[in-house]
Amino acid sequence: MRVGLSIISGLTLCFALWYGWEASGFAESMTIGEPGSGRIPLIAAGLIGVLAVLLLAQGLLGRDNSEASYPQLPRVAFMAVAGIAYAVLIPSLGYYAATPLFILPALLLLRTRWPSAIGVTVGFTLFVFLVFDKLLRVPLP
Amino acid sequence: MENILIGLEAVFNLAGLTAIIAGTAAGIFVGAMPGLGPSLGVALLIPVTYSLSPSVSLNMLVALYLAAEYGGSISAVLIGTPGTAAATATVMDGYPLNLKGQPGKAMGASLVGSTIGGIIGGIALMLVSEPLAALALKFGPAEYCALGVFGLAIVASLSGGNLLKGLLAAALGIALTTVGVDPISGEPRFTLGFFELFEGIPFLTALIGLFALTEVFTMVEQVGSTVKSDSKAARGFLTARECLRLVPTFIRGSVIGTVVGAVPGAGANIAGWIAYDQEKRWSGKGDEFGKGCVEGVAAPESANSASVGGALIPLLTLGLPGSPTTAVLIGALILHGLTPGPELFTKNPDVIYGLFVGLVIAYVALFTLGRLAMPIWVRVIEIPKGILAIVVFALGTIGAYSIRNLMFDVWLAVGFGIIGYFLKKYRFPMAPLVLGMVLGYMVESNYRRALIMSQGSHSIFFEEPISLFFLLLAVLSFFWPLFQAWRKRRQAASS
Repeated sequence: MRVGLSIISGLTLCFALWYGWEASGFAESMTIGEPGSGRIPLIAAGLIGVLAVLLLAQGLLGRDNSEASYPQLPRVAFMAVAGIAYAVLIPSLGYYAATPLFILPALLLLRTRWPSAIGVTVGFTLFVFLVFDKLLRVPLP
Repeated sequence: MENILIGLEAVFNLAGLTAIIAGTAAGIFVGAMPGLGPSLGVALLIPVTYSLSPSVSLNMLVALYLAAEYGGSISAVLIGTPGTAAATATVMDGYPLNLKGQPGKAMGASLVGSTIGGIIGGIALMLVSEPLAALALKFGPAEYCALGVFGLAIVASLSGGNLLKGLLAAALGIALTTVGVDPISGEPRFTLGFFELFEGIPFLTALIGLFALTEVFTMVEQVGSTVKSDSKAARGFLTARECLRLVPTFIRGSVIGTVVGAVPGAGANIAGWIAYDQEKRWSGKGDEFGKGCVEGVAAPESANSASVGGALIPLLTLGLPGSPTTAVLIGALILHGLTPGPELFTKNPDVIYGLFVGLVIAYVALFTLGRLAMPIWVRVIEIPKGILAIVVFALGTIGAYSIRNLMFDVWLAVGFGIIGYFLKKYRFPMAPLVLGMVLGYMVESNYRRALIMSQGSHSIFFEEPISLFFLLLAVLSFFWPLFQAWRKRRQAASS
């Protein structure tokens, strides 16, 4: 049995059921038989559902060779959490305060030496300011 | 002639030339770094081009695309790891040449091949695209729907050997395009109450998540693995005599690359392998291939570079992306208010003819930058993965935000990045997902419009000859790779 693939297929199947349920609330066809806003979503839901079941069967029977390993899962989880924290901080602190607060600790935790980490943090923030703010006039939060 | 003058005007100004040179430099960089690649590079660069004119933006993005296809050969030669998927065939002889002490020859064959291949691909684009666009202007909803179905049918060749996962990814991509206000009835669908989703899931935000942030998580896993390059690798470039000897190789590779590149779903990687295989037969040096033969680098590199011009043919004339990178380019065109397809030729000649002129300039820039700054490019591969991951993440965040100035889009991109990471872990091909996201809307809206015209009768798709042609082509495109795989398995079993 391929646990990871079975979980992904199961989640996809749940998505197909929810998506199909929502799609059934839209008109399947209109006055003269032309398709309504629900037809393509219903077809897509059916297709996703069938394919998810087939994949789930492959996962449960162990007929798939893509079982993944997560040797660096803590590091990846840290990156995801740091990224989410960064996205939370941007609206309240502003881009130019939140960016060094994200980049410097993240670089240090990813084994970058202090001088390089500081250089990258300052260089990147300056680059964004010059290119996005001054040159391209992209309003950053 | 008038159109070429329009193109020259669009390119020969400070912004136009600077954009091409910057795009080329960025392209060599992302190509040389294993794991980055042209799709990610274009997705990250789009927000930078937001305030530029459509013509300058497109030139910058295409310059990055073509330069990245060359850049992939740098790490292929120096460390035996292709920087892009397109450079996998280049490893076969590029790395052995490096081990023989001739990395400069390998990188020279790659640079000259990429330049010649790119120019030949660009010429083909100029010659073929205008008549094809004129034909496509006659298309109605039935033809566009059938064209979209044909585009989706290439999922079999984009699935990388796992059709079930490829089909599921494509179906999920189609489902994602149904989020937002329905284009015909005006009814909101699957928006979960978020007004930010009324316009649908922003395509570029999804791409930044799927390509850039997914790659960030993958790079984080590789932190600690260091690569050392040889600073002397840039020495010993090809001599003029060697270049002349390789001209037939360059031309063969370029022709193969252009044709294969124009076939949706085939792409630069397949072009490189076909050119490598053909060169092995035609060069008369078949025994030397795999042991460090210059022809084994020149052929795939000219082919993968020529495939860029080829891939732009269906994109510009039909609005049909044949690869993940051209799908991202479609997102860029839409962002700039342009409709990918034949109307570009009539409504935006400055963009189209500017691109034709820009392609030539970009290849000149590629050769010049590639040759003069070769000692710098060989050092690019030494940049630690940790630094790259953080910088790409921060750039991706700005990119996602600056498309609509909404923090919601940053969340969306992070969400797509996490989903993409797990899909990649379980070997779900990303290209069909992107294809579904590009073509889902095209198929649905035109399917419904066609049926409104025919009062609900599906016969409209079979009565129109062009529509019927695309549907037959779709059936062929879907089943041909499956038939080939079945034949291969059968041959393997019998031998």
